[in-house]
Amino acid sequence: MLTILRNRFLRVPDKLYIIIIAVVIIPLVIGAVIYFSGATQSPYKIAFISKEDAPPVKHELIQIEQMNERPAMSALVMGKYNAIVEAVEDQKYTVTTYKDESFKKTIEEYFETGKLPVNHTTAKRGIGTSILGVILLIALMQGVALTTFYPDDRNKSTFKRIMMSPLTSRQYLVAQGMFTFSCLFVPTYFVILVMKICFKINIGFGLGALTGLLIIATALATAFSLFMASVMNRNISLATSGISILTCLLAGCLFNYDSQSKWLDAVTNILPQKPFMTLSQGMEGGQTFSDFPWQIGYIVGWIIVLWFEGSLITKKKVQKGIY
Amino acid sequence: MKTIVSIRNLEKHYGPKRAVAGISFTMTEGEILGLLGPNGAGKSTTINILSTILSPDKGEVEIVGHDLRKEPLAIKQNIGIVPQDLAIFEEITAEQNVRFFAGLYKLKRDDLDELVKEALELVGLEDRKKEKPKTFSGGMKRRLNIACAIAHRPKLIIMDEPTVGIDPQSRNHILESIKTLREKGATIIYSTHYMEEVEAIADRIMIMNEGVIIAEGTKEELIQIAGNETIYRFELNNSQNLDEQRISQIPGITNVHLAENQLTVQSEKSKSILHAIIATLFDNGCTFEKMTSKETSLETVFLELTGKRLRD
Repeated sequence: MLTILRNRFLRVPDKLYIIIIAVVIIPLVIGAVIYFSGATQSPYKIAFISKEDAPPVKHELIQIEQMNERPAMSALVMGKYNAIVEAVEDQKYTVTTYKDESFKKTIEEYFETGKLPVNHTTAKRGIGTSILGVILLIALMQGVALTTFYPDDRNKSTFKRIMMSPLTSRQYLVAQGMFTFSCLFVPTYFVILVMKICFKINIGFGLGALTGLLIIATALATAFSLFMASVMNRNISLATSGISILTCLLAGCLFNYDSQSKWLDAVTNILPQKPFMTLSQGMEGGQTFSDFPWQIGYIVGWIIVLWFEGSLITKKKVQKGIY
Repeated sequence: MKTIVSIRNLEKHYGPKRAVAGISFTMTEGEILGLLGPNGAGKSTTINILSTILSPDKGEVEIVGHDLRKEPLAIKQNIGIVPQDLAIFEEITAEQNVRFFAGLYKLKRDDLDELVKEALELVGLEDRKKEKPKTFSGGMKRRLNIACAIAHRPKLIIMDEPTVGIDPQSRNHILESIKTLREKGATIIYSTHYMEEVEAIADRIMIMNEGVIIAEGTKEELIQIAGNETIYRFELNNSQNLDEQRISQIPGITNVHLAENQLTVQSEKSKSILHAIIATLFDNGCTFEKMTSKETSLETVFLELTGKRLRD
């Protein structure tokens, strides 16, 4: 396996895009996410619809923009506002938001009483969780590009030759997985570490929690990319990016939303990104890994199933003489 | 002599198509077996089964005393495959290529350096070892393809058309390398479409067609199967006075055919009768412009047995 791993690193200089992804794209995106997350002054941006009344309340954590007409719903989707608040009668307001129910209640209570509820921070997504949501999306999308040597070997017949040696397809995939994992994990961890230690930027997690969460995210991305590269022969990157974006949006990696549809909830609850975001948010809120045994078990289950299925598919294809 | 390969009643189907239909053969240590057959004959399927990447449907295969079904890893450790496609990494040096493939076998690190050097020397690439294959000619890439298969000193080397599309100089180098490997004790299965290569290096030749072995033996034995004869063709200036009967009566002649001043005479190869034919023609007042002779060759055998030319 070490021979395969060494081979991957020897071939990296010839694959410029791997270096660009690992050394430029991933650090740049993470840096940008950290920067823009930090630049957000107010966690709550509210569009207040009223022709006469000024906003009845004021709080440093709430940024309210008064307007005469209701803004387009796309403003909520794009994250320009977290909620739209309309006065319906005296001291009664309707709140429209794509975030979850607890967030909606927090805003309702704030407008009705003028105070934020005591536990309002639990409904708030912190900088760290936002960063990890984006990192998970990037890792899922870029993982397959960092797995490129595997389909390359298949196309150039070197994979067939390797399979004629005592090395098994499973050992080959483990070595490839180690390469993909390290190319995803090391630059990501390094950039966050630099931001946290050198620039003293608060990223919401301690080093231990951050390491654990990044290991989970990159392991999931590695298993997913190996699975996709095993299943598909062509357009692997295109399909992987499409699936990653769609599932990350549905699972709330980029922003919280309340679907208000049981069917959609049922579908999104299957996705491994959902428990990852719950885990991140909880960890950022001060909880520990031991408080989330179900979420961790579920994500690890996904990692095992994806890796095992990818390995099984590869073995079957080798035995059938497809490669 | 030690038996290196033993195959009994080997069968492989792809759906309803029988790719290999119950073939049996053995190979002894140090032997070079030339494997011939038209496309779709079952050569590649047989090679893939021996390479352990394809499971047989029926039959028994033993390589270096190991059963294919029970001990595939032990077999992999003892074989080296030179695939038809160039299976090398263009982006790393020749030496790194050989080191990588040899490194997949359980070898000691100290031995590895020596084995890589030895393999590169054998194929004549020692002086280019620090260069990447993308700068190599087709022939050099083919030689590197071989070096990657032999560095771990396999007991059985399987070569699937290793000289496709290369210059004569590289081909000769490769054929010489194969002879050297045999001298060092390697047993070699050599599949090719080039008859002259088989004639040059193979101790024994096996011809496959439609999944079965249709002929097997030394070059001389196979030629004997097809009838060991010489065919003479004369382009006569005049043939009106020629009595075919007189030529037929020459001892050793097996067939005579005359059509439009074209005389074809078939004779037993061992008989030296050309002077007798020419004397008879002159006696009959016939002169000729051109004469050709053709002896039975492996190409003729192949054509006769399979009904196809080798490169069809």
